Amino acid sequence: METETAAEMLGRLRSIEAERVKLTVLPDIQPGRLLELLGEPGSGKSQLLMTTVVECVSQHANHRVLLIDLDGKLSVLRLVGMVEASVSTSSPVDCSSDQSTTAFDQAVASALKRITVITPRGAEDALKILDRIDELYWDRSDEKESRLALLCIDGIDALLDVDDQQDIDQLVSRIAQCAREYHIPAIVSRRLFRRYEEDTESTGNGDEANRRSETIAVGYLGKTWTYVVNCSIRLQPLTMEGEDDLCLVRAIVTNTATEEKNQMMLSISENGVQLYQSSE
Amino acid sequence: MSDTGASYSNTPKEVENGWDLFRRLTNSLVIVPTGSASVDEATGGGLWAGEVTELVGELACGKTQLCMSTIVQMFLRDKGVRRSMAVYLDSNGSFRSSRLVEILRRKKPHVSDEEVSDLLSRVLVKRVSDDTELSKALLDVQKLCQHASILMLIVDSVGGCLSGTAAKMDANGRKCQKKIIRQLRLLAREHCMAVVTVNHLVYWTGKMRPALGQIWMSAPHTRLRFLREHDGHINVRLINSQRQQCYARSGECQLTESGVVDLPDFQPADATFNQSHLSHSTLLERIFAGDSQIS
Repeated sequence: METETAAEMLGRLRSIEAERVKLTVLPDIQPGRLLELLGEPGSGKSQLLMTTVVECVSQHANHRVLLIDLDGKLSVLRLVGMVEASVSTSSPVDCSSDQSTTAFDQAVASALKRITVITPRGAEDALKILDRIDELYWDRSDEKESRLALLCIDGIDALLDVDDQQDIDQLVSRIAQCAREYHIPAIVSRRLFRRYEEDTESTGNGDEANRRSETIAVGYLGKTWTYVVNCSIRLQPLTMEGEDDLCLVRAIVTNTATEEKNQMMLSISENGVQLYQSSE
Repeated sequence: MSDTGASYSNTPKEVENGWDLFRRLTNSLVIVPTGSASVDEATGGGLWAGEVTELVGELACGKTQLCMSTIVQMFLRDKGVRRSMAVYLDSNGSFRSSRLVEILRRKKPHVSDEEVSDLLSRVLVKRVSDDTELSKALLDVQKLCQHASILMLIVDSVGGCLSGTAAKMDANGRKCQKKIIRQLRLLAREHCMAVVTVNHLVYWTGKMRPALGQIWMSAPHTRLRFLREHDGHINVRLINSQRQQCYARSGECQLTESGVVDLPDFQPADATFNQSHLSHSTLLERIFAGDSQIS
């Protein structure tokens, strides 16, 4: 790591601060902070993450995003489709004319080139790759200078039970360090499982048992994780997955430092995530 | 760091940008048709290489038959072109070479004996009974990939092999399942295989769900639910998919001597890659339509 004077650092941060990542859906993401997306399988975490990535890349032509796919569930086609949808809504394309289709292609290609995807085999692999993150920060081969603006990690729970706790802790602290060093927000999605107690099904203690079983999250990522997370968003689907093409999700936003909570309703669909109705 | 403009090889790199990933996918997209165009429409063309597809359903509703049918389809398609092989990891004794031969003879009546033995030589079968054996077999498959081009890997049934891990779901069980998931995903992604796992249903928390618990629920990329209907037809419904929206995507097929086939009154859609499969990407449609302007 290079050393810089305090004045240099202030100057660097000021220039970055001017182009903060602003997203329509997620609350004001603070650079240098880590945001956790918690939710059960099928609650829309990966969709929300991908929407964030696509928005960031399509709204700012010089922003890059680093996407680390830890659970191997990234679908490139889905990502490409979302980028196309985003590009075509921001600049509508007339499919009959050749010129506008090439412009469309170029816009999509340029947006996709600024998303760097890493698929490590495990925690150790991810650490080795993150060691090289300096190369990814500035890309000199592009004409315009593009800078890393967002760090997204999908599926950190996939490391539990298979990788050493030490490696996981190291990875977690490295991610937080990257976020602070480059002054970018980091968003991490994590799967939550419900542990079912034996009497969940009985009608007698129904409510209590359900509440109890919901708060137990299988998969303790370690103390390092609890210290590193600044903000946590819990996603709870309100409609059954697969039974409707629109999914309503309640998002409970918790700021870990101040313990204050906010609630929002989001609608998650193939085309992205929109704010459905916000309640305070 | 990948340099844009380099040749798009099939092997995935650790660090790639979205555009290179997309171009590599379009260059190396392999989809194995199942034998029934209706089911293929539901899944976007058939069984995709690079993905883990799970077939889930009750006893004797056609899951193994679909696997056999797909192996024969793969052979018929790739016969003169490349030597693509299939690996079948059998845990409940459901594999029958004679059934493969029967399907081939029905699909192609005047097939020669050489072709029959060619088909059988392309299928490697191994018996696995529990998770350690399965893990070891998957490692062997990984080593085998260096010498042979394996296109399909079928684990029949994964619900049987890993049943020991799901009983209590303690740390050991979770570790075991996650290791197997990692191995399967590695084989699918880095060695471009269509990995198929066969699972059964269990009654859990109020309804029938795929066996092996919550961790396994999100293990495969795509999940197909088989349902045998009253008139003997089989409804294959897409219930989980990473790639596309699964709302109301299903296909109907029936089991005959020639494997899994469409119902007699089935009307196929116009193009092989029509909008409903690749509802996401207009670029992808244009690439497959032969638009060469995209660099």
